[in-house]
Amino acid sequence: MKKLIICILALFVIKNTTAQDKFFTKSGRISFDATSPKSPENIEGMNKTVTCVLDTKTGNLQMAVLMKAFEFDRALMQEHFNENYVESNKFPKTEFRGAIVAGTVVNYGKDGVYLVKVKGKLTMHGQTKEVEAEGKLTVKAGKIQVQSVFSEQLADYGVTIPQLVADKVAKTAKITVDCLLDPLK
Amino acid sequence: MSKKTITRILIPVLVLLVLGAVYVYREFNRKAPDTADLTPAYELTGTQLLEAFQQDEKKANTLYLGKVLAVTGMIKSQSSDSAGVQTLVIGDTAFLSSVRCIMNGDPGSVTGPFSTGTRITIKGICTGYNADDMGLGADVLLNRSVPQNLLKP
Repeated sequence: MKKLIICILALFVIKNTTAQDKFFTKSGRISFDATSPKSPENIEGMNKTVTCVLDTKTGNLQMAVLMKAFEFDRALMQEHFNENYVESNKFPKTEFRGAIVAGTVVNYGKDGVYLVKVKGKLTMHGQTKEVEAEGKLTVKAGKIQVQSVFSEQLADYGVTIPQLVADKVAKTAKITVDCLLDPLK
Repeated sequence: MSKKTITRILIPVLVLLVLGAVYVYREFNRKAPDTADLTPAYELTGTQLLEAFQQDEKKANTLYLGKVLAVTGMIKSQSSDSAGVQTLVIGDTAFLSSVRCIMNGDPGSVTGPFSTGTRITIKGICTGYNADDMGLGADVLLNRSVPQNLLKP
């Protein structure tokens, strides 16, 4: 009986330790900016429903972004984005699977700002590419904020810009990530 | 060509040009319609919606992606992000999987507070499905959601 209780307690401790290693959100933000110098207006979209998980033990970082959830100021721009550029009916999701590979050693138990480098595979529009980006982890009050700004060539993911608006849409999109992660209980 | 003939041709051309310009201006500045004004393409429960995606994601995407859905279920939890955008989570508290309804954040669209455990129908645009491949449970997402009790008469 005593052994059984010890086993149950050990399993409980193991389970809790594993859960506390992971931090997550389902309401992270990713925005992109494809405004070119000749754009008549800002070409910016915002997604407020990004799922992000960081395993503090391994440094693994995973994100999932539903393309239909990008919102634009103008409905027409949103329709063009979904239908003509990212083809979100055909490719509904963008995913990133990677890990923190370099940077300041992060002490997740201590409040602070840590500069890191993340490397992994980004799958968008059915194409997968190795990406590397610098980012910032802010540990504060038991939560972790993940922030990064990086650029990606649209052509690398098979996103083609129609000739008619070729000079009005930037060939490189600036992507801004901002996710506030809570501990997974 | 007489002056009268030129006028007869010019006036319709000008009218067409003005109408075209108005159309282009309105189309360019068009905002996404208020979800409360849209008729749902499908009315179903949160469980039915989740099961449809879990059984055949491709088929469910074809049916529901980008469509207006009226989803009924129990409010499992609710939260607001730093910008005040409210999310209502519909589902069974015994399971991790749920339907996440991101409420319409337009000014004046007061949506809460709601009581956890209340049964509600929410109308929103389906933006897709996140399978449970991160250990967080699977989710179907609805954007620009409005609760049934805010539907316009």
